[in-house]
Amino acid sequence: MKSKIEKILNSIEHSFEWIDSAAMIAMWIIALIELFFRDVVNSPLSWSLDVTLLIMVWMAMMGSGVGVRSDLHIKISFFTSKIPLWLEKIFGLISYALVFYFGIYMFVGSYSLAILPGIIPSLGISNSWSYIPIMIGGIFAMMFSFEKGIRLILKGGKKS
Amino acid sequence: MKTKLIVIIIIGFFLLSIFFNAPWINFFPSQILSITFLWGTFAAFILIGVPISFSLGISAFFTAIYVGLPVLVIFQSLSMGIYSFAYVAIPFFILMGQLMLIGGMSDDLLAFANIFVGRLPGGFAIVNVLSNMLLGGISGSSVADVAAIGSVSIPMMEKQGYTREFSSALTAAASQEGIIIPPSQNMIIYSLAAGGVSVSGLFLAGYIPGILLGISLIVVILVLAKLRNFPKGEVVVWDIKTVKMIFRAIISIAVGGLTVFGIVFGLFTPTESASVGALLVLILDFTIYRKKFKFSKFVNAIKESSRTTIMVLFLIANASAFGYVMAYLQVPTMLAQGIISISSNPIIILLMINILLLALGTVMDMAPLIVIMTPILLPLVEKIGMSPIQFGILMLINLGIGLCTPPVGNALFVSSAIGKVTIEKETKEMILLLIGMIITLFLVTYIPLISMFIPNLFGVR
Repeated sequence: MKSKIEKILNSIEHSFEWIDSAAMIAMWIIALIELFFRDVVNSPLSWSLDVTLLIMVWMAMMGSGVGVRSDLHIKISFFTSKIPLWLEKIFGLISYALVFYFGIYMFVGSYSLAILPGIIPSLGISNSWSYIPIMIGGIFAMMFSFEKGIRLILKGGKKS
Repeated sequence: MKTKLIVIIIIGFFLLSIFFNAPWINFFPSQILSITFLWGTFAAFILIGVPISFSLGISAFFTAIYVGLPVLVIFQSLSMGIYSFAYVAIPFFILMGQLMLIGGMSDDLLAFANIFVGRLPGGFAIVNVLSNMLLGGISGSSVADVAAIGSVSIPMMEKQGYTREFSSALTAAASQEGIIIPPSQNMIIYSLAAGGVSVSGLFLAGYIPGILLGISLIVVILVLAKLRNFPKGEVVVWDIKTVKMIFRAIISIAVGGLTVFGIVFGLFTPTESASVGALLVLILDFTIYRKKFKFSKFVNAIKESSRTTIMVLFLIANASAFGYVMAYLQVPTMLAQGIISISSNPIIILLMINILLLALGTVMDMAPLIVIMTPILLPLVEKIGMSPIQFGILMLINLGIGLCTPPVGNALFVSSAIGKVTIEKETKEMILLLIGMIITLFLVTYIPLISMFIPNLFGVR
């Protein structure tokens, strides 16, 4: 059971590495296409900027949730280094609990905003498209901070 | 260990007292308590190891609850904080820097710099500085430059008789050119944090301070060369290989120049310029640097760029939520009044700002400090008549120095890892170089013309 969950979480993390890379390339290609149409073909595209922006927001928000697992986000370690394991566990658990709690509100808060009316003018799609990635990011932040917390509790006597 | 625990317990107790309106702190004005709560929770969270980005968001969230702001504004700022076209330039500048690492451009720039300054005493150390200057004109990040230059220059300097500690420290210090000499992704972040300061103005303003920073490091090296008998650099052998190397180096430098001047002359927006710059660097990787090109390196560059982009953007998103609460609590106004009440003399005010930024830079990374401190300090410096462009350069030099100092300094960490030296020993060697950098900082602070000469020449204010 344990390894099955771990496998699922691993595959989410790995697939997001590729999804993020694909998003990066997509943004790049769209930006270059936009430049080509504007300067060479002389007929600027109306959708390109908003699509690039939307890809960027989706990538940043979902990726940051997954980043909780891969320790992507920078933290300050001079205070938490060279402390005994029990204290490391307490500090770690508090910080994962805080990220978990924030994840809940990333989901709930953005859901409340997503259901409000409004559209992105140039694309003609609902505003909620800009809030959904924060909701998903929130779910990932909850999931992975929970996993990290459990891992920390199970961590043995030796300090890693 | 005990001290750390006691510090956290005291901060925690104090913050809980504020949150639950404990009678023993009630005599403080409520605005002061709210601001203390915002900054106190932020400090406590980063100390116990919550990532900086989450710390910003969570402390803004708790403070919103404490002062009775609707919490939805926090999540709105989270999304809207990065929902701006101008931010799309950041991933592309990061990508450009990563693609640059693939082909071995840095090796060529080292060899190219050697032609000019290799003969001087302390030759290879000066080559290190000059190549960082040239690389700074192509890449926009100092940590990428430390990795690119350091992996070649540190072992080479050691072979020539320099200590590993000095070589690593010098590489870290010189890599700050990457931030100051345009293009620079941190200038884009500053431009947005400052509410749309001209990117072309910032880019142009970076050249002279960047060169000055390089000169200050070179002066330190020349002094040390006398004291420690540093050797001269490698003798240049003029053959076809050298000519080819010069050709490649000039093309690489031209690509960097194109991205900067494309923006300055209005051919591109920063986003377009960065995307074209990244494409050109990739084309160089495929053509003149094809021998070292590997597809796996390209995939890694894309992965690494997306990781850094996510980290930076999530940080900015959370900082904008934090900034919203800070503006609501009128922190910038209060700090400005506080500083002006101590002294209204611009020289003293700028000195205090420099000390504040240097102190913060030692414990925090560059991007979060730019997004947090710009909205607070900019109104103050504008009040004393400083241009936001000059302030941008001043801030970047300050925080760049912070990247070379413990306890938190990414350039220091990366260079010590590459040079395989301890942070403590490297820091000792860093002190003299820091003096040079701080002198440059003060020149840039008090002589506006150093940053503003080129922007004024191009009519950007």
